[in-house]
Amino acid sequence: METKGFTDQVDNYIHHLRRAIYQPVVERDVGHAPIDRRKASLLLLPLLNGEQWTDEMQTAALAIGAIHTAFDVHDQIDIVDASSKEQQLMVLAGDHFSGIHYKLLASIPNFHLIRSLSSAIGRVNECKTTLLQAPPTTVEERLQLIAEVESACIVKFFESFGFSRYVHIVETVFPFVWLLDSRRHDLNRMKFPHLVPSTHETQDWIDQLQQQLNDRLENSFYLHTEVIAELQKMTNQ
Amino acid sequence: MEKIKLMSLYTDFRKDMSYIEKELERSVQSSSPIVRQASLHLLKAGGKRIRPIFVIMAAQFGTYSLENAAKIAVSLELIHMASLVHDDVIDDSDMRRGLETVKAKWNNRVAMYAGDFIFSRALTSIGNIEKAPVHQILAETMLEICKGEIIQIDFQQQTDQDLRDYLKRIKRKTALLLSSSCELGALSADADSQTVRKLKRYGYFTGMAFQIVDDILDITSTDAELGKPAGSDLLNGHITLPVLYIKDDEQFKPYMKRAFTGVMEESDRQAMLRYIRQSGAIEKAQHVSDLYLIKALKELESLPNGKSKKALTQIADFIGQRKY
Repeated sequence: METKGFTDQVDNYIHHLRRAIYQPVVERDVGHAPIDRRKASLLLLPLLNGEQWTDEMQTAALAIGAIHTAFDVHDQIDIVDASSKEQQLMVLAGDHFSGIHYKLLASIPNFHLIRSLSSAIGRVNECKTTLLQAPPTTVEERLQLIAEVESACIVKFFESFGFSRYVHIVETVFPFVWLLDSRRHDLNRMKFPHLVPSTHETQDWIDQLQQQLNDRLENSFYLHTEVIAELQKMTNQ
Repeated sequence: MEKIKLMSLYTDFRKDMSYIEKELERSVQSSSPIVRQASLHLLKAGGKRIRPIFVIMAAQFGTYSLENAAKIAVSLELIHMASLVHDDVIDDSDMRRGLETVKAKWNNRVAMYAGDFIFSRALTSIGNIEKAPVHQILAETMLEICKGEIIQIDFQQQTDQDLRDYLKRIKRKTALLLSSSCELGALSADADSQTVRKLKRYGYFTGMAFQIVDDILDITSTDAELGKPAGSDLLNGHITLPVLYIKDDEQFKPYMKRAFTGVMEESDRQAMLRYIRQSGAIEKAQHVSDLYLIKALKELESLPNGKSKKALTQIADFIGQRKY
């Protein structure tokens, strides 16, 4: 598969996700919902690697995209003052996207995924609250929670559809790119910028996770070389 | 006193409601102490539990299973609770049911996460019901409720609203979830389609009346009775039915203009509330509520007699007379 093919597939998914979560008032007053392209690419990893992709998987993947967008919007709510019309609508936009995620799962209907995703959503919010209010003291524990926040729903999706062998890749990539964003001072893109470790520590962890990712990619015999190249591009220092 | 009276209507279902209360508490347990405290904070503050009781009562018209009905009842109450936690962020409210709100006790972001956590637990509970229509109805209901809130924000401080706009708004805000409580309760017990339809309509009509009375009480009650400042709706820019009836009154307009700033002198707020109470708007709104309750009771007429029908009738009567 060529890189152009990857880009098209991710673009196509984002286009469908935008259509699924569309809400006219929110769109008019708040603008486009933030859709994380990197996260979308990791969610679509089995598809990009040529796995059989059914309509049910596509609908479930859109549901995951909707809940990710809900998380991202709710992460932008001001901690002290959310009284502006824009912030009020963002609270409701997130709730709307959550509702869309449930509607999509109900349309399949996939009861198992409703249950397993609901537990993942609960866990994500527990982790986010911990990171916000009472973060663990070690960088390792913090990275572990960040990995859970970003990957928990994707992991449930992979496990539901027999793609468990991709789990270790996403679990490594997420904390890795969080550290890369922090080094690039890409704080707007980042979640929990207040938890960024010192420059020296960041580099140590980047090196460690880079090594871990390289090992995992080397051992993932089923990954096409083009997919490996894409992942390397995503995690390029 | 009034709260005791509503609870007394649940007497025949006390054991079932007690089971649901325990399930609600169990559902919001969390490995995160803050999430657990934030979720239990609102749960412990109480509430009328009208959604769970509607589920239980509606399920009595089919093959009743407490276990199945409880999964739905817990889910609906949690969805309601999650929306309240987020509403307090939107309205910047510090008090609810006489207690500090989650956003006031912690902060907006914790309230967002706690609300999303409670929502996830709602889906965990109902996820155990493997009936596609149940999920499709609930998903549609949730989206409509959300749409209603978005429209409410969009309509904030807009005075060119009419009765139709108001009714559409309260349908989404309150009536739909009560309607779905009855419908899903009946569906969980495999009640026949006619019965499901009648109970759904009963829930819808009582829900409309419930919200109108709520909007009346926001003006007629004291701050202490409400657990928040009376007139909060208007201070938040929301035009409710009583206000709709006098919004074009020249003497009232300056009050409304000042209320929309969100900050009013205490004496000014009291004067505004007195003005609405004496204008006849409350009686007109009460009349609309009564019409909905008559329709609700009509839906019950052809349903089989029993403790559930009797309690649903009493609840409709209670809504018409409630004082809190």
